[in-house]
Amino acid sequence: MTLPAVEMHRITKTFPGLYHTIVANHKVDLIVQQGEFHVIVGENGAGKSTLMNVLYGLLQPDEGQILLYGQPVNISSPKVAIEMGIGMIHQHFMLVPSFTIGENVVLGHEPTHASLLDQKAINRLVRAIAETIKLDVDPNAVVADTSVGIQQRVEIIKTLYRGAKILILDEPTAVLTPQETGELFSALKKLCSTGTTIIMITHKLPEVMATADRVTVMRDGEVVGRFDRHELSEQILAERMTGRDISMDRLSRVPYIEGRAVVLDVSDLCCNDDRKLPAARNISFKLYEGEILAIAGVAHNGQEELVEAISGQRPITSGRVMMKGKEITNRPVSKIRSLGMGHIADDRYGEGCAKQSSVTKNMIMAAHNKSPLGNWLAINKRVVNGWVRDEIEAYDIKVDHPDIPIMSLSGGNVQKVIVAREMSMTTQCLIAEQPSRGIDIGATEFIYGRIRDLRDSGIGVLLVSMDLAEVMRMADRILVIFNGKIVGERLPEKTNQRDLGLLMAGAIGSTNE
Amino acid sequence: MLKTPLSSKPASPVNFQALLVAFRDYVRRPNIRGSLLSLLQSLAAILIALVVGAGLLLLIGANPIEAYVALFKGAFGSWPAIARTLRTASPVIFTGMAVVVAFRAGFIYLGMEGSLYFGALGGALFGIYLTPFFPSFLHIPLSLLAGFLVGGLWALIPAILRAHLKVDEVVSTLMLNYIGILLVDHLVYTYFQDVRDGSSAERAFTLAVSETARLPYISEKYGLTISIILGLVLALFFVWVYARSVWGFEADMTGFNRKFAHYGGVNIVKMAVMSMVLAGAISGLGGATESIGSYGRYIGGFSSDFGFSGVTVALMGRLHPIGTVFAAIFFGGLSSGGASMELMVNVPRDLVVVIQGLILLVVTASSLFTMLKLGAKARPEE
Repeated sequence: MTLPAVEMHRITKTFPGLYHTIVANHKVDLIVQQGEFHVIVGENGAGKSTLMNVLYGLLQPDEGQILLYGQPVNISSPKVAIEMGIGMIHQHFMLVPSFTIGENVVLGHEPTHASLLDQKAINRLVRAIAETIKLDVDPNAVVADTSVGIQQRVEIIKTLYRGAKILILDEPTAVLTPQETGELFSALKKLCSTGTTIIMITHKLPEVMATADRVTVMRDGEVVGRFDRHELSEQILAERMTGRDISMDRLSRVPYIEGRAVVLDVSDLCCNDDRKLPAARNISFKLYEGEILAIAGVAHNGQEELVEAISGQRPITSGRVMMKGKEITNRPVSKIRSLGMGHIADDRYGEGCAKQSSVTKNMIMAAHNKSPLGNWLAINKRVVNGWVRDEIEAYDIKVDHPDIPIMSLSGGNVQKVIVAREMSMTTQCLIAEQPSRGIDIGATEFIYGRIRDLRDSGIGVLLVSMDLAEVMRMADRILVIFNGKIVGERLPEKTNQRDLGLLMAGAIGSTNE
Repeated sequence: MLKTPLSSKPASPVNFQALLVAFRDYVRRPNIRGSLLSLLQSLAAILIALVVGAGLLLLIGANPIEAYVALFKGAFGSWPAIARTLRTASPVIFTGMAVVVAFRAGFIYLGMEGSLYFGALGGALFGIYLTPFFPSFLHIPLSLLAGFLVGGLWALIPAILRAHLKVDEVVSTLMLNYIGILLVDHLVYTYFQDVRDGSSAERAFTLAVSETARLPYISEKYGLTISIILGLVLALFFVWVYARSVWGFEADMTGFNRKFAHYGGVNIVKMAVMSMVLAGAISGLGGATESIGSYGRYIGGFSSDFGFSGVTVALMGRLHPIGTVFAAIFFGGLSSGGASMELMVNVPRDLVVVIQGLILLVVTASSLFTMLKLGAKARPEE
């Protein structure tokens, strides 16, 4: 029997926190066999990334031991890790945008010919690696011109070029389309079959089911379960991850009925992106009372701009938007909000909150100058404090004190603050952009429940998402956006992820209603 | 900067302009706002600067303890010292408050100097030419209001350029300072110059402000007027603004994250214009308290870099109104104490300029450090 590729024994890692020490890993054991596809699954904050950062030498453990192929090692830095054959693909890529793919791959270890870069050798090397894992890349393409999916492939090829035998991937699918995800997984499996050991971090259960040979489940910094492939089920994993009994059944749907009151009527809307190029092209749809209408699409197909145009953040170049019979085309954001539109932004830290500011201040934004929290001149601190306390309780937000900076909260809790704020303002229409992006199952279920409650109370919900599982679970009706246009309308019970995925990729442009 | 030496001029502070441009991204991350922690940081920064300054003193062969004792005595050791300190601090409180207003909203407005001169002229003209119409209790407020409005009007130029054409306010406000200061002098030479006194012809010099418009003195001997009290009242007002008012909240949110503020319904264009115009107006108010205060007229080159000193004290005060007042008084103390240190222990007063520079450096560097550290601690994952 061969020795395991990686053994981590009783790894403990703590961080000094604002109010108490954060235990990111507590006596964690991890054993990964050679050539195994090992998945570490857990909610955000479970300690998965910390553990992998320890293995990659980015963090030093407080206690514990690491063995590679049976030998005790001291991985003091990523450089050492790379020398030992460990490679890590982060969520954020580290590529030089102005270099070609080939140049990025060989950067630091360039093949030379008479002390000049040997372009032919580079191309040959890159193609050879790409071929072994059946990933198609053009070594001469400049990285800045390529998609995120391609850039990820470049990262993988670069890591392999540097001789990685153990490949760590941290949430690799967060940025990919469904098709790209499939291609990535088959490439990774191919790698496994050639003897490379793969450790992948994820919190998405279908991905675990699709890939894992073995699974380690983490919760609150500890290992709470180990499973072989044949023992796996989403139900078991979800319960272990959250420590709760979670129903994975579909949420109840509201059948689509014609003739209900229209909440949001968008007709022929056009708007431009930041570079003044058309982003949304003649988009028309109606959102009815008491329904969840999903706009599904791969990122950057105009849905971000569309939402900004509807919510008043971006000029509408032509067309009109009506909310409950009132025209809101190109009205100021504050006006549209006071008419009863809530908007959960997709970029949680870039747009949805002010990181350095307190939970309280983030919670009252946009409600701060309206009764009862305040008026046009002043904010009523006493009322605000009481209100924020109530919201924190109602949304089960885990926070030491409402006056600490919101950035010290976990992603799920930040999202709950945003959701609480936006839902408190919603009386007509809620726009929910990627409401579950990057947050754990517990928080996701909670937010889904709230959105459904809102829908059931008669509010129209526009769900904008690139997560097909989310769309299939939540939507009463689905529109697919591609290249700034609505390319299809579907009812969730009459479609599947494959059909939607093809529509999102622009492969079929039909409208079979 | 236009330099026309005045006899009563305190030590000239370092020209921080180049440094400031480099700090712009830093101050746009307003994690440096007032709290107990940041107060301690400012105090620590002062201590570090004094220690480094002591090293320099040793290098030039002086006794640091003697020098610092002389500095402290010259700053706060007697009533004349305190009066001189507060007199120097007064205009800097206003320019410092202007910086607080603009920086907290995320706009690096550096046009305090220009607006200061416009405000000084506005206040002086009202003080001179409205004489027959108003009693003192109206004439003073009206002259101050004139300074406030004129200073704000001058700031409207970069504000509109910023809001509508996205012209970088750092560059435009810096450059407009030169234009503004010379333009004010030019206006005075052309229309308002006091020609009865031939000896002053080399400097812009208006008629004297009438007695009904002069700010009452606290100490006439040391040129200390009630402008220091006006500065305090202004600071208290801004404490309320940032703790309770809708505008202050929206300004802070804009400073933290402009996209978030926009998404939350704040009109960013309006916020840009308002915060910069308000900063100009407060600087102008500060200018008016000088021209209808101890100078009693508009005098060209009256400011010894009060505008940029405002940046120093506002950053030292962590963009908190009260912190800024204390920083301004400390700053005034350094200036007035520096003069007596030079006299008593023969240490060049330029040392206080070095200390000011060191403090600014340590203050900004230390809060940058905390910010990075807190950021890393707060989020072990992601």
